[in-house]
Amino acid sequence: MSYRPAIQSIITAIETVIVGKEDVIAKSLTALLAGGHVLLEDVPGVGKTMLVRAFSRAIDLNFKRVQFTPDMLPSDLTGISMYNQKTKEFEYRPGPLMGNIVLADEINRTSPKTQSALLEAMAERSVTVDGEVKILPSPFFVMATQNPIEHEGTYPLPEAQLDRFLLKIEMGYPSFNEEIALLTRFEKAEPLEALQSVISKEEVEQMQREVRDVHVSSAVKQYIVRLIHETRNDPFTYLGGSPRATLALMKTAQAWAYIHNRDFVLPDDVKALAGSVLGHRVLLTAEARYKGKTSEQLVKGWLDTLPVPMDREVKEV
Amino acid sequence: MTEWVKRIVYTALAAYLLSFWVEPIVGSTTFDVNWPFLFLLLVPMFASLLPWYGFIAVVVLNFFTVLYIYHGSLLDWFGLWLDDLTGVLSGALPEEAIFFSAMALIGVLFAILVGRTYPSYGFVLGMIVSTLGLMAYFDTWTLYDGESNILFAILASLFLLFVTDVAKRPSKSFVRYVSIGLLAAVVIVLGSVSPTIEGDWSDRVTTSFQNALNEGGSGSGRVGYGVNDEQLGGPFEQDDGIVFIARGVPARYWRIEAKEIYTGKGWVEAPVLDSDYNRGQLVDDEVDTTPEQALLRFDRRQSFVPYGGEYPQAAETESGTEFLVGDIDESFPNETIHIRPSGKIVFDNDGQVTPETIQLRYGVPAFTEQQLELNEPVTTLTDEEQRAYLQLPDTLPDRVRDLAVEIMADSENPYDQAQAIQAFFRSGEFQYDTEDVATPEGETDYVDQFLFDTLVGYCDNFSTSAAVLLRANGVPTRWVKGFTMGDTRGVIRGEEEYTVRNRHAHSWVEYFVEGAGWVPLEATISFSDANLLQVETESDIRADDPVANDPQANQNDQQTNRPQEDLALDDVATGETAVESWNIPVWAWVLIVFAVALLVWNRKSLERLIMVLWWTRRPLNEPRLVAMHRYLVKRLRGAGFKVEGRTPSELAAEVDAYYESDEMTRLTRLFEQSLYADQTPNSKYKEYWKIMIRRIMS
Repeated sequence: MSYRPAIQSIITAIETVIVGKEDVIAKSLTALLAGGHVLLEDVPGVGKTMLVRAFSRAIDLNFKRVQFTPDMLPSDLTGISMYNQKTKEFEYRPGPLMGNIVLADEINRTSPKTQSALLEAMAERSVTVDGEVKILPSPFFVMATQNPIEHEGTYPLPEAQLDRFLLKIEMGYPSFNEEIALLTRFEKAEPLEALQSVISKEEVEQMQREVRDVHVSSAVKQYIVRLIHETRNDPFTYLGGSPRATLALMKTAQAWAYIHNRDFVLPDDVKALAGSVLGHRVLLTAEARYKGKTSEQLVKGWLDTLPVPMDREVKEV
Repeated sequence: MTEWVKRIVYTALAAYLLSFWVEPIVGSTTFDVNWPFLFLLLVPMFASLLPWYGFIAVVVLNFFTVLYIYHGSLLDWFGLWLDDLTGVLSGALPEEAIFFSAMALIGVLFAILVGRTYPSYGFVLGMIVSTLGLMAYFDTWTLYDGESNILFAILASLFLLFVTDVAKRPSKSFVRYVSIGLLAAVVIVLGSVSPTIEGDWSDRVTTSFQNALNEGGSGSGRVGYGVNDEQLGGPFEQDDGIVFIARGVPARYWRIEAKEIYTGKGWVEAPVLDSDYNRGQLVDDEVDTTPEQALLRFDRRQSFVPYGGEYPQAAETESGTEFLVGDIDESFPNETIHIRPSGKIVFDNDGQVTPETIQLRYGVPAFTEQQLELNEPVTTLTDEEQRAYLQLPDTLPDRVRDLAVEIMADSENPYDQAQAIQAFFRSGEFQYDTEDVATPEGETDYVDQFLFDTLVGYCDNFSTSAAVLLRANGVPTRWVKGFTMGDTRGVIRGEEEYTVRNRHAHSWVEYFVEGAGWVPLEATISFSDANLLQVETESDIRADDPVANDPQANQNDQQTNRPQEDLALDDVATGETAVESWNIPVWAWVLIVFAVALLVWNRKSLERLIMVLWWTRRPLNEPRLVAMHRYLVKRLRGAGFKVEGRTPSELAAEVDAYYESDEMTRLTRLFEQSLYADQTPNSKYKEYWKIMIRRIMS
């Protein structure tokens, strides 16, 4: 809990670059502290890349960027071993995954083969090059972006792989006033250049450890499980949340509570993150899609009706 | 600031509503003025806006100021109060002083409630219902006329409900709109679908006078004084509606008029009869009469004047015989009234109605045994009159005449014959009943049916039969209508008062004794003629009418002889009639319904009290904390907040925003720390909980 001022300063620092996106920043930070990865989904130009770059600067992390293209190979990510004619040995040239914060831009533009290499690296936190396992640096935090508008020439991520992203965050457009503020801020200066790191890599690792100590009471656990059960039992869902989703919900809730200076999780934390955690993990039936429903709407509906447990006693619904 | 304005408006409206209590209460008591009550009820209410010491000071000062102005002296009044208290403790009805204090206490009580429960929805509803109920009750059963006020009371009630924040509900809740819509829909649907029923808003006190005893034949009539007696018989219902209140008299039967012609089915008036006995006196000049005065207060103006003895004092004037009825009501300054041959007093105005208050002067005859036992041929009545008073229909079965001869075989004079008939009815064969009473159909004679067939009936059966039997034996009779003495109200300001109600309507017989005049006879079993006929024996001639002058004796008489209610005393009374006397009167039902409604409306405060007492007195542990919080959330749901799917802190934010408070958030923090952070419950939770419960359930 000692890092609360640090968290506030991260958010403040990033906000000098990203206008009015406190929620997005907090969620991204949540994913980082929970040891997961983020899928940013939105139209181009809303500041996805800017957010990631601000993140890496504020936290003094090693930033790597990959622009995904259809002709990209897995080795373009993991790095390759090249023959060094001087030493007459194969030498490992690290790919862009060897960074702390990796911006995987337009992840759906590359072939499934490359995508799965990335997702495997995200899950395993290591890559295998020429039979040799290379451990990725820690912390390892992927922020992938995806454009929901263009479909031509894209390879939509399979559901199983979406599940590997802890959170899917939508940026959204800034409000009128925020956009004015944005213009003013960028009128004469380049805030990103002026952004100083406010926290070290070691401090982030310390925070990640502390997040695991955030208490989750049995009432909150019940709430999480009940919510996941809702996703599985709703007639509009083709595929509900997996146990991995259950875990993700709890871990992000812990980090969210930590960011909000609490050492215990409230149902409010679960509610705040449910949309981002479950939105990309729930598959809708054809009927639901035909009726124009979105998974976000369904999550909102579950949250609106599911009673919040006020009891320690575990009761199966 | 706005809170203060609201508070004052609320108090003013509550006070205005309460002020409607004063008129009916004052009207039904012996108080002449209502301003003391207005002050006693209303000043404390406004004083409730002050701090408690100011409240007490104003209330005490107000009480003694009102007393001083009303009574002139505080010391005297204290003596009165002590007397009254002693009286009440020994069983007497409370008089002025006690009543006065009681009203003052009610005023204080209401002021405290108003101060305490603002802006309680339940309390306001209770006050509205009790005020409207009180007005309705007094309007129906007493002389008070609430029709002109009820509209204002209802308007004030609506305003009061409005300022009581009924409209203020959680803004995000759509429950209010749904319920408004539902209500409107139900009203519209029911209003258009349900069959239309003619509303009966007429006052019980007056209508029953039009539906008299004689509504037999077509179902059940209602007891009361009627005009048309052509068709007697049939059952009737009891009616407690007040007709008039008599002051200053001992228990007396109230005579209104007599009828002469028996038709075989009922009674009609004879063509004009004219003699001294029909022009101003009932009894012979030889009979002693005791002067008596009665003050009658009517509910509505009536078409008759009841009197307790002889005809009211008459004076010969150029325009004929006039009766002085006093100058109580200025709108009837010594109004001329006429007396009809039947003894009915009629006002010489178009509507033939009485003033609302009448002061009557008349003599109460006291016959001596010698006068009654005279057996001389009737000479005082004209031949025409004698024919009328001895008339019997041709259709009268002979067995009635035979029975008359049989009953009175051993009786020498009219008085003895009358006594013989009275004894005949009381021999045990006959039964008093108001419900299982037949109406003669077709050729059946009313008297014949009763005497030989049914043997069950009420006053009309007994009196008509007695009159017919006496006539059959050659005694001139007439059938008399009026009221029995009524219910005693006790001695008020030194004078006895009686409340005469519809159910006291009665009929009896007058027979003529030469040298005595018209002598009344109570023929109906279970009724006593102690309040109708005074006979002085040798021993009490000097005692000067002991019955009339001894209120205590009268009270006893009146209690033991109260007609129709004490049937169980009568040896012929059956189990059925005894059960009837257990019937709960309508107004008691109304009261019970109101009480239940009040309880239901105030159940929240009761529940709140119980819950607060229950939970806050016990040490807090987690299960209790959870239970308390569940209860709180349940109450919040009841108050219109959306609870489902809300986390405790979301709910707290909304609740605090609504109540402009922060207790719910504080409470929720403590709840969260206990349930979600697994810490020991903090006992401060109970304090916040108590505050919130009071706030939600007030």
